Amino acid sequence: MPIVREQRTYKVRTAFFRRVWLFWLKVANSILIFFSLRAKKKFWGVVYDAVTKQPLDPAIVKIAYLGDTKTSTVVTDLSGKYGFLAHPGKFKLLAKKTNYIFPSQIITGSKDGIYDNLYHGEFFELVDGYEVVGPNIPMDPVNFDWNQKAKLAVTRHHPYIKYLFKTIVGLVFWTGFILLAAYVGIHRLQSPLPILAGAGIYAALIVLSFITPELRLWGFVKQKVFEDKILLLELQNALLPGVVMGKAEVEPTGKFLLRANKGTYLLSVSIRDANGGVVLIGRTKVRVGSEGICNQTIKIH
Amino acid sequence: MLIMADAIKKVLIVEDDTDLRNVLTDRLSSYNYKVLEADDGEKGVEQAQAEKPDLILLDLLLPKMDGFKVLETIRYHSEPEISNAKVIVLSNLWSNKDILRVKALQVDEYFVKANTNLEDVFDKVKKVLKD
Repeated sequence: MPIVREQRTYKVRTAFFRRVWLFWLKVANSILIFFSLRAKKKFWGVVYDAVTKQPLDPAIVKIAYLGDTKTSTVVTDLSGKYGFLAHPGKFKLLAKKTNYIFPSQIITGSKDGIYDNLYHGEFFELVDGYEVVGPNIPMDPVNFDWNQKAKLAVTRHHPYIKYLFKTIVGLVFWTGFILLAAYVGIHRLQSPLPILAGAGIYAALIVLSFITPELRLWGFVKQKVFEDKILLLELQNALLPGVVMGKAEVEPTGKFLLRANKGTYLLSVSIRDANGGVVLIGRTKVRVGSEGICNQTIKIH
Repeated sequence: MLIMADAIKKVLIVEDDTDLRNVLTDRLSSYNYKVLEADDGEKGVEQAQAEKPDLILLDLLLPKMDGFKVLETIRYHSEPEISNAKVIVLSNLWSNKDILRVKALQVDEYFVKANTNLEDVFDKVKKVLKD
């Protein structure tokens, strides 16, 4: 569909305060996750091999609503990630991958030591609003998969090493906390200064974990100009304009789910006109972090 | 609907994942294209040279011969009828290096599988074959 620039120009930009707030949240959340004071926020579900725990790509994941023939299909990335912004209704997910079967017969519980929030084909029900849906999906290998082997040359995942590292850091952190608390409990303010400083750092981190909100899973468009129109978003590689790296439709509430790999992009905002054509409203530069989603607030005025 | 055999456009899908290839084949067949399939790079080149498709939907991570080599062979070591074929890349490789390498070989579109709605791929195929 041809894109035609509208006569009137609109300003599209990322909200400055939201950007600053987002930066702070990322730093605070990273510290808390490192010290095992907060579980890593799952922006995406991962489709993975139930035996090796390696992510699967390309796996096809489909969301199907009960009583609605319209479905949406996504393909996982090199890290096995996928996700949907689901609308109200009863729905289930279906996963397909050559040489693998779903649901897994090897892992039948809700966690397997490495991944949690596991999905085996159950129905979900969303009563209102739009929510990000992305449980982790184990799949059982039934044959050798060439793609999985070839992918190791491009990207390698070490879920067991990550899990071990996380467990050791958590163990050291909480052991230190117990020892410090016991020492300060016995010696009170007569404790040496380094011990008191250490206790202060622990206290600050624990307070931080209570007051820091989690990063949100979606982006948001704040605008009153096109209230009755469907807004379309497109991320283009900032260095290679013309290469589309992600697309999303903004839900009526303003939420959108736009995934992309870490990098700087040009975000185009368009509307669909009455004839089904696409009219460009404007562009702005956005940065996507390691979480792999554009969760900025975009303002149009 | 009666269609002249010569007017039927040929689309070659070079993709090693059977499930994804089937999804692409089913939909493109429903548009009355003649859909050819190859599950590795070598077969992709063979099919391209034998069938002279109008459009090639190409993955990059492929057994036996990767998509870059397939594209190079089609563009530089084939007769004009084949080397001028339209090519749409559908891959999960997303680095600038990979995209630049492919773009230098004159592709009509580069889609990152994971960041693309398959409907956009089908729309692009229809548009490219109409032009």
